[in-house]
Amino acid sequence: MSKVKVLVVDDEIEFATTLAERLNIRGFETTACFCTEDALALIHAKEVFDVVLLDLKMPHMDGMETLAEIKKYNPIIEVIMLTGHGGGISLVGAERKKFGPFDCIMKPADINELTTKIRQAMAKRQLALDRGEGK
Amino acid sequence: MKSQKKDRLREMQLAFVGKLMAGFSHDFKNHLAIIKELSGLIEDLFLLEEPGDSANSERYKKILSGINERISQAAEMCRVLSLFSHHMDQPLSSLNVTHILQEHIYLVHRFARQKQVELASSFEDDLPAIFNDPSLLQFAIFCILWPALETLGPGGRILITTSGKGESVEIAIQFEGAKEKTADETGWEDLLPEVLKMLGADFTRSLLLEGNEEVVITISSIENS
Repeated sequence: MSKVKVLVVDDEIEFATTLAERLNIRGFETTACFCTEDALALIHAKEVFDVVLLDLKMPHMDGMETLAEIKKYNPIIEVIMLTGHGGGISLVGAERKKFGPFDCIMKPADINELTTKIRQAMAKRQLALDRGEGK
Repeated sequence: MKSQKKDRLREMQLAFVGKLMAGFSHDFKNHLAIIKELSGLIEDLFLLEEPGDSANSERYKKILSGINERISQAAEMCRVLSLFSHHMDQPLSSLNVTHILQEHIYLVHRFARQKQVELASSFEDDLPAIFNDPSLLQFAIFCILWPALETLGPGGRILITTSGKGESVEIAIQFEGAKEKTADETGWEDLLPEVLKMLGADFTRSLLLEGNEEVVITISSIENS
C-alpha cells in the first residue's frame, strides 16, 4: 500500500519541518512548505498530495484563501486547517458551508489526534477517488 | 470631555488591548506548538533507538537548543506583556519614551510580519524622562501605526525615530511604500486629536517625497505642558 502524501504548510519553518519529520516517522510521506505561494506552486505542478495541513494565518495569502485556491484546482484534496487562533474552530465554521466539510485542529496539536485526522481525511479522499472524482 | 466621547475612547482602548492580545496569544501558541513538536521528536527518536545506541546525541542537542530558544522567546513575550499590563496600574508615571516605543514595536511586530511590512527604529540615547500617561501614549502610537499597517502593502516600511528637544521628546514616524487599500472605518485616527490633547502632546502630519508620509508627536511632562 502506498504511503499517504501529506503537505504541511506553515510559515513557522521549525514547526513545519519538525511536524513533517514526525509524520514521516509514522509512515506518511510528508513535504514541508513555508508559504502559501510555494504550496500552490507544488500543487499546480501536479505534485500529488492526499492531505494538506494548512496554517490558518500566514503572511500575504491566508489559509482560507489558499484553501479556496486548492479546492478550485482539485476539490478532492483533503485539507486540515491548523490554527493557533483561540476561536479557530468557530472561525472556519462559515467557510465549511462554502468549501464543504474540512477538519480543523488547534495548535499545539496532539500528534496522535493529528494522525487520526489525516487517516480519516485520506479515507474520505479514497472514497472520492473510487467514485472517479477529482484529478 | 463629553461623556459620549469618553465612552468611545474607552471602547477603542479596550479594542486596542484586544487586538494586541489576540496577536500576542497567537504567537505564544506558536512557540508552544514548536516546543511540543520538538520535544515530541526527541521522544520519537528515543523510541526508534536501539538500546545503547547514541547515534542521535548530536541531534538531541540541536533539538534541545531549539526548545530552549523557543522557551526564551515565550518568556520574553511574557515579560513584555507584563510591562504592558502594568502601565495601566498608575495613570501617570515617569516614563522612558524609548522603552514605551520598543515595547510597542515588539507588541505589533507580528502584524507587520503578516503584512510583510518592515518596522524599523532608531532611538536617540539619553532622552529626557517624561512624566505622563504611558498607557495613553501607547494607545496614541497604536492609533497611528495600526491604520498604516492595515493600508501599507507588502514591502512597505515604517520607521520610528526619537530625538530630545529640551525637556520634550519628539517621536517621528515615517511611512514608506505603496498603499494596498484604504483604512477601515474603525476610526483609530479620528481619536488621535483627543488622545494627544490628553497627553498634552503636539502633532504634525506631512507629506514627503513619493507619497510617503511623516507623523511627528512632541511629548513633554504633563505638569509642564
